[in-house]
Amino acid sequence: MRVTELRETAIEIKNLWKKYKIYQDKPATLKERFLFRTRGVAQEKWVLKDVSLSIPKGKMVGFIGRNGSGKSTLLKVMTGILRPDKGEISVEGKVSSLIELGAGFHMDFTGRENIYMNASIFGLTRREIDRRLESIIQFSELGNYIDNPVRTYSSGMFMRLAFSIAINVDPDILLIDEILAVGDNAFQKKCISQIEALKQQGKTIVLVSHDNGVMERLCDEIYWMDNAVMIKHGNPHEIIQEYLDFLTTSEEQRLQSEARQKEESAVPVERSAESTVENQGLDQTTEQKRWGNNAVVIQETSIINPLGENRFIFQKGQPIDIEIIYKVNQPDVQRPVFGIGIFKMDGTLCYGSNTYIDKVPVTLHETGKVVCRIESLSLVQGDYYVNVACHHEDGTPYDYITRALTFRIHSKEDDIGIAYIPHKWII
Amino acid sequence: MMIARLLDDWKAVYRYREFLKNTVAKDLRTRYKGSILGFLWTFVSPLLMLVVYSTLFSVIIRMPVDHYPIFLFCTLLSWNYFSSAVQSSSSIIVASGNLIKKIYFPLEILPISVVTGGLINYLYGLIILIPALVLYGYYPNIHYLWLPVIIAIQFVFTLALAFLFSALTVFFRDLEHILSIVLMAWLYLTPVLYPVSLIPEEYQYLFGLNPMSVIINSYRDIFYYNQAPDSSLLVFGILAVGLLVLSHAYFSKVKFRFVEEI
Repeated sequence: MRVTELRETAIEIKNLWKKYKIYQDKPATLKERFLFRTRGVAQEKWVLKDVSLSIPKGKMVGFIGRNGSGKSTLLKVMTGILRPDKGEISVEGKVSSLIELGAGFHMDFTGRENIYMNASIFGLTRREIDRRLESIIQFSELGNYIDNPVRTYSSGMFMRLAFSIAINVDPDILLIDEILAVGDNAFQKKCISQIEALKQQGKTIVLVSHDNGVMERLCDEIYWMDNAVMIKHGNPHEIIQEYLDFLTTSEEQRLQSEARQKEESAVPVERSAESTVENQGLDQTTEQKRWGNNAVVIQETSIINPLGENRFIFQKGQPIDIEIIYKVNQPDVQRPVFGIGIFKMDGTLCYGSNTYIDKVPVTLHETGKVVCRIESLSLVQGDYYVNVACHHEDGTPYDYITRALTFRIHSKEDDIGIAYIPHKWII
Repeated sequence: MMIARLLDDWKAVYRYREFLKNTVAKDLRTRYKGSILGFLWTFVSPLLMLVVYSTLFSVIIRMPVDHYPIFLFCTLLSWNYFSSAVQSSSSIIVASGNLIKKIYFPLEILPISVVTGGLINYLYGLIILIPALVLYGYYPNIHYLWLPVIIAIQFVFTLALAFLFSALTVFFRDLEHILSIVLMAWLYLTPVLYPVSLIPEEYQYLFGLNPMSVIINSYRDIFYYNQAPDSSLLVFGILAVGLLVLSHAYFSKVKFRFVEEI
């Protein structure tokens, strides 16, 4: 291999712009065309704004970004399905795209016939397909099913066949859009190792995925897109980290504004002994229930981070305060207990405790604040809700609120379960 | 510059020839899907058509023509090829929306596959036609050598219209329905069902301007009248190639907008 070849680019994009026309109500018939001479109200939306990039041959490059940020459009421009409105794109070599697996499959044809059909869509000749047939069938693990009509396949079998074809057409450039969720775990691993093998062979690979772990592991470079604009690119680890931080911040803002809206639109509910409040802000399944004799009323609850800010999203292991503001309605409340319970969204209790269990004496004022300080919120990634309560030592509820709070844990690790159990591996 | 681009388009079609072949084969295979006779319909349907037309026109409506069923049948098949290819090509881009949004391939393949599939079907029809001719005493003759030329010219002309209408229908969906009326009228304005001699003298020149008259008369010349086609066929052949280049140029110019329009 010559040195110059190493520097060659597979895909070069310069100042590329792409817009979609969005017709409010598109007149495509004669009558409408004559009635409204203008072609409906066409709104233009730029889906790619001044994107420039250069992907060297033999590299694996990933695109990350939120839904609608323009990643898939960019991939479609690379395949040639879409043509840019402005700017230049040059693509060197045969492109195979795994944008939509199984597009063009014919349900009544057998797997084998579909291999011929589908591989030819990628521009292969009969002989080229003949040569690859065995490896495609083998890779798909379909065995004898290959001669059954595709309509008899399970969705997993279908995807496996489609993936096997797309990956075996021997492209110079492989474009993959969010399709690594193919088949079962074992097959996914096989796909990823096949992609790695292609990378070893010097193929250029462009990957769009929301699986940041895979992206970080496989890619040489990551491009981060947001809102039709290329934000930045570079080292996978750094870009993904920055992207995740960005996501956390923007999601935080979204949840807060949602919560604010909810508060504004919430009709004040007359508290009864048992009232149900539909709470649709965070989760549709959330159904707040509240009961008690109102001797003590919980007026406000919040989760506070160490900076004193009210938040919805927390990092695993972060310290938090759960604050309960109460008001006493009856002067002679006996032996009050404050408690909290943290649940996974599916209702699994992760942890619960109260002042009685922890042997903390409670003295009530007319109004006051009780704080449950958690030094390290060692929960795994996911959504949780919190029940809070004030009740008598014997269990008689003064005020009991389920799903009083909701929060989300973000984590860099993908560990599973409920709580993080501190551990290390000794090998 | 533009010529080079058009040539590139054709090169791409050639590279994707296997896909073209498979698409045509799929269309032919699935056309009679689920029917009992299946592929046999390719032969049965022209045969039944022959029976219907010959009964109708030789028993009920008398035409001043010898062996009317043969007179009709030797051109009706080619007309049906033309009209059904034009009709179905007009909707082919829209109907393939799902595919073209997802996978890149030269979009020219779509109209080409429709016209080619129709051609193959027509060739099968000839397998019925030629024995029928023999049965009526019209034997194959030296002028049959013109047959590939006529078919080629018809193919080019049909493809030219297929490029044009498949592209136009994307932007203007009514065209598909308008075409079916136009094609019906076109049939009656073309000497398929009747001999040219039935046309009043003063209108004959108008029929000379109808490209399909040239094709139809050429078929009838070799099959029925046992004579070489009129030289206007070759003139028309050149025009058809010109038309194909133009309509493909239009198709090629607007094809990048298809994905966004459907």
